[in-house]
Amino acid sequence: MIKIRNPRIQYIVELLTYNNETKLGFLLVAAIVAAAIVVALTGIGVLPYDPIEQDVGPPLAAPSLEHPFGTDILGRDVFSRILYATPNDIFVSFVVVGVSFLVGALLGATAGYRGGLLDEALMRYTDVIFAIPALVLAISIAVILGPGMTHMMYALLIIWWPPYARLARGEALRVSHQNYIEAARASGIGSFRILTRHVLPNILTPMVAYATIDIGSVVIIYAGLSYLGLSIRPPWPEWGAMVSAYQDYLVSAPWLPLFPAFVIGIVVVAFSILGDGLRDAVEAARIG
Amino acid sequence: MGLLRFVLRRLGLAVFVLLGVTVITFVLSRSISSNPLVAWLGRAASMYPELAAEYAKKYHLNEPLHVQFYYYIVGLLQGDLGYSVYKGKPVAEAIGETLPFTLQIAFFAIIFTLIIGIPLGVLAGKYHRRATDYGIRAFYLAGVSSPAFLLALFLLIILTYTFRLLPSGGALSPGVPTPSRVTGFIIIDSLLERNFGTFVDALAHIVMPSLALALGVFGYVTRVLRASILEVMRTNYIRAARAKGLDENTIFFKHALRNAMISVVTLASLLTTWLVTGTLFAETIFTYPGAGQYLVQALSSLDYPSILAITLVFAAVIVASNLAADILYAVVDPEIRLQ
Amino acid sequence: MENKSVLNVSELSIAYESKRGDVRAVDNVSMSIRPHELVSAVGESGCGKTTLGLSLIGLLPRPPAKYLSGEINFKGMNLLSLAPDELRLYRGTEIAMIFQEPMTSLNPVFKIGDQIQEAIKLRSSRRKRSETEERDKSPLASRIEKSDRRKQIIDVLNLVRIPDPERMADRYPFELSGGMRQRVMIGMALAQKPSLLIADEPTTALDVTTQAQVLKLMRGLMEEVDTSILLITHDLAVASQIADRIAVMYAGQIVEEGDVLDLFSHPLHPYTRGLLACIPSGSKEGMRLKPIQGSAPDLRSIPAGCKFAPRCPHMTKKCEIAKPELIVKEGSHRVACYLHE
Repeated sequence: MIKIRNPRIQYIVELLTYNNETKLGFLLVAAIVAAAIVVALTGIGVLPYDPIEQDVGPPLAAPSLEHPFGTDILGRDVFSRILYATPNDIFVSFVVVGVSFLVGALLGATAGYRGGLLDEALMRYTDVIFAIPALVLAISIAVILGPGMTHMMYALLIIWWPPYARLARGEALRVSHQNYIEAARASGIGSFRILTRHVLPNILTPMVAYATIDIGSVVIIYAGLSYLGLSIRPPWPEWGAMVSAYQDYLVSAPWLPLFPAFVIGIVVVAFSILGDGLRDAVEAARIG
Repeated sequence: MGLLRFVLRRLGLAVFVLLGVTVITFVLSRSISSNPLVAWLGRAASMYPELAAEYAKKYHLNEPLHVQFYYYIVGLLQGDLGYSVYKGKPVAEAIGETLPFTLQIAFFAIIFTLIIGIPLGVLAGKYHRRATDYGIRAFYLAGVSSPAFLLALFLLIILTYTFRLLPSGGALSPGVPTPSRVTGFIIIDSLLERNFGTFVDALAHIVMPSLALALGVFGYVTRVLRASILEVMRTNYIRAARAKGLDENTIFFKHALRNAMISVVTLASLLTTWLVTGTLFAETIFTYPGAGQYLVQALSSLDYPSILAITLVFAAVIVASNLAADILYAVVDPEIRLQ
Repeated sequence: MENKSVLNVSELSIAYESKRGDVRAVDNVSMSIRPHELVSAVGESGCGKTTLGLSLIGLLPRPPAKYLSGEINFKGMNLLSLAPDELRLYRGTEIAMIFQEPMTSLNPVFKIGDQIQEAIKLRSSRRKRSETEERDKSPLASRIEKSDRRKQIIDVLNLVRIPDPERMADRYPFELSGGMRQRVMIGMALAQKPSLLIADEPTTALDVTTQAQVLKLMRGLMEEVDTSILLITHDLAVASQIADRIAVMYAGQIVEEGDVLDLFSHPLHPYTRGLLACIPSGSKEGMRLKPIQGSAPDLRSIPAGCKFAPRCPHMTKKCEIAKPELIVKEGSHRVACYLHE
């Protein structure tokens, strides 16, 4: 058992090593995030081939030692392209989830704790957002803003925070009725301090489990959006865009559309496993 | 009586939500560019100025925003969703032609989801912590994590190209006559005509896209059902049922499942959202002529009226199914009904 | 006496396996219950009374529980020697149990009447199996059966004094108060005509007035229906209201046992005396409540001597060396304490 002096970090470590799922999930996620960071920082240099350089190998070559994922019709190395596109999805999903988490937690906690008009307004607004399928709304917004990775991110940011607000609100409601909150209020502590010091810290942990799985969801949606061509920046590679571009080669060169699609799936699985495990860990921490 | 009031309340909420959605789509449509003509006609606006001017008058595009909104709502209520230059017909008509196909897929997708998801959830709950449970969890994790297009491609490879079981796309095989249009749903129309050949062929074409959708979504049903079963089995009333002397099978299938299923119903409303999202990809890959494919085409041709109208329609479908799910929930859980 | 008793537990020991060692929840307990007798097992939380109750009806989850030694003889049959399927046949129709939280003991999605009917049907199907009766399958017979069953359900509700039974039978559990739900539980349990009803803290979750009503009901029913009751409670005052005999338990053992009047007028064990001193009573106005010093022992470590020794005001060296045995003092009054040897 690893013992660390700082109690907060100790808590995090305990959560992460709670069971097999969290350990496995954490390893996978760490590997993926590390890969993303490395590629983002070092650029093309760390890759086996230049992702946009053509004819580094025979076109439509099957997977081999030199080209683990094969080559596409322009002779580009698919493996390098996939690696190079990693930071995009990871970055977008972390930013979207991070911002949604913060905005949602603040709005939801305040609404749950205060109640009243703010609460009602929040509930109705999130009801409306929930009614529109996330993807469709994201598409509509992205269309208006124009193609591009940052625009898609903005589109997603606008619609992604309601579930966090709902979650935070629910948790805040539960926490607000606990005795220590009543005690704090009775001793004259102002609302703002109660919110930031007592309510918020206690609602964060269950939200984190949801957020982890949610990163996977953003990856899927983002990949879907790029599949639909909303993020085309040829010749730079994007996982989703690669799948739609190579779709027609499903029979002749199946590795072309399948590898990017699998990679998306694996990334999502990694975050799901970690998130699932964290959820169990948080439950256990709450009961124990 | 409690049920009626409950339905009315939910209906009111649904109308409110739809209104909100309308506002959003309206705002979006007017945000596309400062010149609303461009929004509605795209490039055609500059090419046909007289037509554009007429169009502007008809749709009140030069008047203040709140007036526009009023006419927008009036138009909506009359079924006018704008005109698609790219399709060459009113958007409402185009949606009327394509939406039934999407609904067919959604319908079968739900059925497949339940057929796959519920038994697996029950098995995972019954044999919890054993090999069956872990196997099922791995299976649904793969399904839920895969982007819709991966599942579709996967199915294509296996069912179409390897085993040649099912067709690769379209709504009907070439050469099969389209049934005359009564409801717009070719499944129903072909039955009405007693054209069983067409019926079977249409079904064969529906299986792949709906199965692709179902594989991506059944995991939620399985996961929720499994968790619910485990939770129910720990309750006091199950312990009391054991104390009565009932055998484990009766306890599991009669007492526990009846309670656990309630959680599946709540999930139903979330399901439709995911399904609608998935149809975009499923219809594209399987070239199925539904509203999803229509939307994707509208995207690439920047057919704004179509894009916004389809958003609105999808939202309406989701609101309607949420309403249905809420009602179903009230039927199933007596506590909700009688409050 | 042994052949006449409904239940005869002899030298029963049960432990729970845990990561940090086995916890001995029941330590060498022997007791018996006669027909038409209401015995109460009294003790603080963790003294083993619930474990004892669950073991009698065979609902002890094993693992983590394991039976170390002893026998549970019910009407002459050692229940511990039975296979799970055979044991299940005793549950409900021979030995029934009701639990502490009436609010959550009824299935929320079934009507009250249906749940009671399930209990009745279970009993009649078991009776038929043992007596191999011929069942008349004509439609008229089944219609008679149905109205019979309806009448039986109403009878059960009347038995536990539920008002307006005709309408109540079609209600759902959430429409009833806690007190009423507990009555339904009692009725459902007795509908199966068990010879022994185990009641684990049946009134703890109820308010005081309802508590008294339910207790009185249980006592009254014992005469009406041919059954004995084992009342498990932490509240000596509750036990004293309706019990014939009381067994005081501490740390898994019975430390004193006897007729209720005897126990109250001549409490022998220091723990019993301590419990009695804890009962707030109107006649002792102005006097302070005297709690028992110390806290419940850790059941993982089994000390050599008397388990109560650390908290006992009369402790001597002898008490720490060896455990006192349960000895008979007068008639049926037994105590395990060196003070009385």
